[in-house]
Amino acid sequence: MPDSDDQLLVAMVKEGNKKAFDKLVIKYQQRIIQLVARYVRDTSEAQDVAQEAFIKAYKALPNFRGESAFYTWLYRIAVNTAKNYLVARARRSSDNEVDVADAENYEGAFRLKETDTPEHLLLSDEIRVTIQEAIEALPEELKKAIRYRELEGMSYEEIATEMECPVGTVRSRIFRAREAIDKILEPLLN
Amino acid sequence: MNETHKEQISSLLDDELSSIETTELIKALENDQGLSKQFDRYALIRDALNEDVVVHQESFLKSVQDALVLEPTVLAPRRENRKNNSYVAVALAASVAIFSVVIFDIGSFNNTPAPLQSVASLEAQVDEMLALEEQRNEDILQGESTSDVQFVTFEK
Repeated sequence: MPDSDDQLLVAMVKEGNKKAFDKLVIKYQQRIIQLVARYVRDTSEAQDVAQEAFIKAYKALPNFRGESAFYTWLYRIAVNTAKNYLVARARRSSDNEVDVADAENYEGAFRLKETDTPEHLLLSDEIRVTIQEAIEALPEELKKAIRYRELEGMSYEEIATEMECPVGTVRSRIFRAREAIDKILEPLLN
Repeated sequence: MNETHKEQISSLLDDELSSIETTELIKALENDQGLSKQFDRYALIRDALNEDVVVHQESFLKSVQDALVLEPTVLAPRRENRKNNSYVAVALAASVAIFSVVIFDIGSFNNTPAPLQSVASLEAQVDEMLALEEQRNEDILQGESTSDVQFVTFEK
C-alpha cells in the first residue's frame, strides 16, 4: 500500500471508521514491534509497548495534520513510547524509594523531533553487515560481554559471574563495545 | 554529551540503571539531542544482533482492538467542535447571568441568607440547558451525514 492509501485510511479513521485503523495496524505492526524491540528486548514487553504506541497514535490522530507520512509519525510515537517505557521500568525496578507520582512523570521526557525519521535509522543490509563486522573486530572481552547480554539475555550480575569480574566492569565493557560499534556506525547514518 | 551519560544510556537499554541515575539521564536527554540520537544508535546495534521478532499478527491486532474498546477515543471534526462549543458557551453564559442576578439580588437588596432552594433550582436550570444542548447535538448527528461526524461528548 502506498502512502496515499495511508492518507485515505487516516481520513477514514478520522471520520470514525475503526476498521480503517485496523488496516493501519495490520500494515505496520511488524515494523513497529521490531522497532520497539530494539529498545525493549523482551518480545512480549515489546508487543505491549507497540500496542500502547498504536493506541496513542489512534488517540492523537485528530491532531495528525498529514505533513509527514503516517509511518514517520507513527515511528516517532513508537520510539518515544519505548524510551519512556524504559525510563518507567528503570524507576519501578529500582530498590530506591521512588514517589509514585514521580514515577509517572516520565511522560514527555522524550519529545517528538522532526529530525527523528525512520529513514535516519533504517537497518539496511549494509548497516547490519557493518555492525556485525564491528562486533567481530572487538577485543575478546568486549565481544563476549555484549554477546552474553544481547544474544543470551544475561543480566550484568550473571555476566559478572560468568566472566569472573565485578558488575561495574561488565557495565563498562558492554558500554565500550557499543561505543566502539557506534564510532563505525555513526558516519554511515550521517 | 559526556561518557557517563552515554554509559547510562547503555545500562538503561539493559534495564540495569538505578532510579537516581535514570532521573539524571532524563534531564540530560531533555537538553541534548545528540544524546538522544546516541540512544537510537545503541538500540539499532541491538537490532543488528538479534533475530527478527516473531509476531502473532492476529492476536496483536485483537489486543489493540480490545484496548481501543476499553479506552474509546473521541474524534470529532473541528467544525462540529466549534458548533458544540458555542452551544456550551451560550449555556454557560446564561448560567452565569442568572447566577449574577441571584447574587446581586441577595447581596444588594436582601440581607437574608440565600435560600437553598434557589441554588438547587439554578443547578436544575443548568442541567436542563445542558440536556437541551445534548438533544440539539443528537439532532445534528442524526441530521448530517455520518462521514462528517464521529463522536461527540459532553462534559457537565
